Amino acid sequence: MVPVRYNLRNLRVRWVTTLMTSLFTGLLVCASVLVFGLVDGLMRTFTVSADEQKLIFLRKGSDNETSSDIMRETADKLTNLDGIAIDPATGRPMASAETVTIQTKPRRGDTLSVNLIIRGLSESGRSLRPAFRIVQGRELRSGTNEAITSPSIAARFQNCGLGETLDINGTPFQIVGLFEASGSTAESEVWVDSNQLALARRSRAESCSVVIAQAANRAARDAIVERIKSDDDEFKDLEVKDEKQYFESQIAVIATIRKIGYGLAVFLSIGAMFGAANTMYSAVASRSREIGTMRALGFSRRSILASFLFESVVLCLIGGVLGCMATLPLNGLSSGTQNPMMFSEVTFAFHFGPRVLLQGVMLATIMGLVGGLAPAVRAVRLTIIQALRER
Amino acid sequence: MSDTNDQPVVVVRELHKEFHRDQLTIPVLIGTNLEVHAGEFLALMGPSGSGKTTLLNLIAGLDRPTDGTIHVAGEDLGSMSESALARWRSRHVGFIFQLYNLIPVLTAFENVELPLLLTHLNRRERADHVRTALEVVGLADRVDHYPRQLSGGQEQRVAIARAIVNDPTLLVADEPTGDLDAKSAREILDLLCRLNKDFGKTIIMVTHDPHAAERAGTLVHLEKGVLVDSPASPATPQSVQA
Amino acid sequence: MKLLRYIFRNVMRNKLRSLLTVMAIWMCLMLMTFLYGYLASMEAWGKEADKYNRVVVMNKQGFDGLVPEKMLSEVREIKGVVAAVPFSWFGGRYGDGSQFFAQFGTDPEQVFKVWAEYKIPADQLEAFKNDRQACVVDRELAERLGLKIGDRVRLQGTYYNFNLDLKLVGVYDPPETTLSLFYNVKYLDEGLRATAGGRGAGNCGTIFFKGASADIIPKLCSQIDQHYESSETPTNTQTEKAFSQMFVKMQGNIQNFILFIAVFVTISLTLVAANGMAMSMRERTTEIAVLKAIGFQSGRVLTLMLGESVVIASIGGVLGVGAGRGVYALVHWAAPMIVQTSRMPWPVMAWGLVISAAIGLASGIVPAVLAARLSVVDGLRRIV
Repeated sequence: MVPVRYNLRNLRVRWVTTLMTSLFTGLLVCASVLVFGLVDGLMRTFTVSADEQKLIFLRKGSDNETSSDIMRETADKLTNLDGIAIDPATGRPMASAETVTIQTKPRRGDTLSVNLIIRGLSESGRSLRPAFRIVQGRELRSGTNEAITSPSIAARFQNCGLGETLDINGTPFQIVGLFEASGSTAESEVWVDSNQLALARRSRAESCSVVIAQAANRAARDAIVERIKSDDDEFKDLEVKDEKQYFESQIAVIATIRKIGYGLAVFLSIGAMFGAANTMYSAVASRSREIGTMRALGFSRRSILASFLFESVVLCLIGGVLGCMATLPLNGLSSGTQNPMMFSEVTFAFHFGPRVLLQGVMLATIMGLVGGLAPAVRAVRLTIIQALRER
Repeated sequence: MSDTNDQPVVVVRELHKEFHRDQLTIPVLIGTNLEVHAGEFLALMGPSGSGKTTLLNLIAGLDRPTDGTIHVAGEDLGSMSESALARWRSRHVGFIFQLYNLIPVLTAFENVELPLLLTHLNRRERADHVRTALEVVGLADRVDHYPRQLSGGQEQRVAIARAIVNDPTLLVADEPTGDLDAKSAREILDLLCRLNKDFGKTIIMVTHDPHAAERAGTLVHLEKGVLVDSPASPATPQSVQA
Repeated sequence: MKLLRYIFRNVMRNKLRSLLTVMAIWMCLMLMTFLYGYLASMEAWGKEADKYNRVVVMNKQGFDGLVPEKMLSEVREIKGVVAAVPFSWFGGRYGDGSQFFAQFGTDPEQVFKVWAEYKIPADQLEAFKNDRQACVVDRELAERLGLKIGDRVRLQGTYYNFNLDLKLVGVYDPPETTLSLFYNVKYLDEGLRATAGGRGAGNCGTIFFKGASADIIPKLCSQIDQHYESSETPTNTQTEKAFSQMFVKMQGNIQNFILFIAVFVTISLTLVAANGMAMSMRERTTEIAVLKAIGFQSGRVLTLMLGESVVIASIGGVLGVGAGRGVYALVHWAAPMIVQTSRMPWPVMAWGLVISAAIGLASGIVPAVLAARLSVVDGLRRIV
């Protein structure tokens, strides 16, 4: 219908306006994409591992690890349950009794302290984390006051760097290694030997917070879940969730944050839409005679309307694509914030993947469509005669 | 394309057109009747406000009458919907405006090509038609120029090329020389005459310039919405009824 | 003042264009006002707390650590401590869990001495002291949950292995909404000892005490911390304000993030407004030339143009700040746990207006200067 080059060349001719409109569209898209990337990064931390065969045993009624406690004997029985996979390397069940505590520790460059998760676990715990590996230093030795943590925590918290000493309940623990675990929640924690943690806390080693175990297969998983549900005498105080279910509640909170993020993007977009509409109204007004001419020649109202809509979309897309590209350098930048469910710090990395970028492009397109609609309608509103009479 | 010479291409019967401004109703055409034959070059003259441009617009399908009928090449314009009219115009009418109305961001070639985009011709066919049209108007060497790089006379010639490129039934021209200097005006009128004599194009031209009117074959006058008789020079005396 | 009228007339000239610019600024400033109001609300607790001389004692290691009952009696003995209570977070689930509010285990005898600014009728306070299973709530919470005196309040334990079965005996009026419930911590302790082997019992969680005057508080804090430093339960004692800021700090980089977005938004809006001004100017070169030909001086022309862009931006600013304030109030009413205070500090709103005026200036300056410098001849030439 109306040739594309008509619109593109008009954008070029009014380059100052085109530039300014693209810039403000781009900035607002960029801001929105940053929010999307933050939320996506947060979400990934909790969905990296969502294994339905990985089971988390908690005290009944507690929402998460930090508020749960399980008696040692019960924990031992759990680790030896039928159906738990055996680690081929060690011949022992892939189950780990772990104690989780929250300590207030200062961040680097800050005087006030925030909550940090300290987890006491035995060697078997490693195999239960996705792709756990030591990236700097070495693994801690059990029975010693050594600790390992993630590079992110080491960078952000005082006394958590490689070689530094972290005080846990008055007992010094030396950081001997840094680990990664695919960006999962493990990377928001400091790990120590579970017995040493119990000693440091001067708490009774007769209980732990949680037991995590890997079921051998689907059937085994279902059987174990049934058993716990059935309120068996031994396990009547317990409930079990698989990893997917466990993180669901955390994800629910992030889903709320995501909604807020979308709300923010909507507001920003509406602002941009008004700006884009302004530009397009001006374009339509100055091209009234051209529009009349094209309609006289036989171009339908619809084709001209579509043409101006197209121009509006291209205008916003220029900015939108630039705005999306501007976020790329921040991809992978790690940061931390409060995890409201665990009441402690969670580490995440901004993630600007294809999906988030696509959302940014779609946002720009919608800005162009909605912002350009009224001006495009105005373009074809006049009769041909009226349009031809303009300036 | 054209009918036999005795069947009029354009038949206008009892045409009424009113305009509304605020509360007032202004009648512009009152019971106009007109016939234009194929191959005719008709000049429509009259003082401003006489309704000559209005009549032209109605015949060209750019506007709708308040009452009366218009038939062009046998088709009743009044029965067509807006989109049908648009399609009809693209096939049957070529427009020549006083202010040329070329699209500033398109080259001469692209401007002439515009009406062809509404047809099913492929790119090569379109290019052929465009080049032919530009040759006819004598601008084959200005194909890639933008309107701002052309003189007024050249712009009007491009406009004329655009008007003929689709081989329309009718050419309508509204004050085609109104914005031109004497020399360019003459050239344009020469071109129009050639199109009429050598190519047999039917042309209806609105003008208030007597020099332009001279060049036409038939002359009619509109006064206060009413056609009045006027002796034409040279060719066929056209009889019209008020 | 004639100048002002002319400025307004120019603004009204292309109503659509001015309106669209105003709307863009309105939208974005509404958002920013709300966001900054939200940030400020997080600090509200701390600011309020300053007046009441309350101090918080917690275990140095964190919320997980023990603050034993014995410490409470020792703190009460200290000279300068007017009253002290345990204050432990229960974190229980009420009903289906959709209505979330704070529940604190404390000591009915002294709690309203520590929070002396909370008003509670004497008979209700007596009932609270006498019934171990009693609880009191603040007025707004009672309204939200539809509770009357005498109703049962059941809280399911999530941290603690014990459910609370409480009776509402009183409603107190704090100066600012708190949406909290107080119960007698002894009830929880006894329940834990009876059913769950006593695990978790005897822990105050935190101790809140009221200092006799503001100037002795820093000394009290260091005195307490030094005393317990080498014990099994070392403490971190700080004013209520500092304690509240700890929570704010935990939000991490949200403040920086919002600031980042604010900068983006401001620049964008400046461009939106500048775009509008540029389009206006392009259409008006002849008119400006005519003005100058008549005798308007360049300075006046500059003022005129700038005035126009500032007026447009300011209208958008006033609307945006006003609407932001409104949205803030709305969110506070609908979700008080997110926006905890109904008041928005006036600096937040003032800044919004200042920024909108700045946008007006920045967006108008280039067109205005160009207009002022336009030579009359050049401008008039465009008419022909």
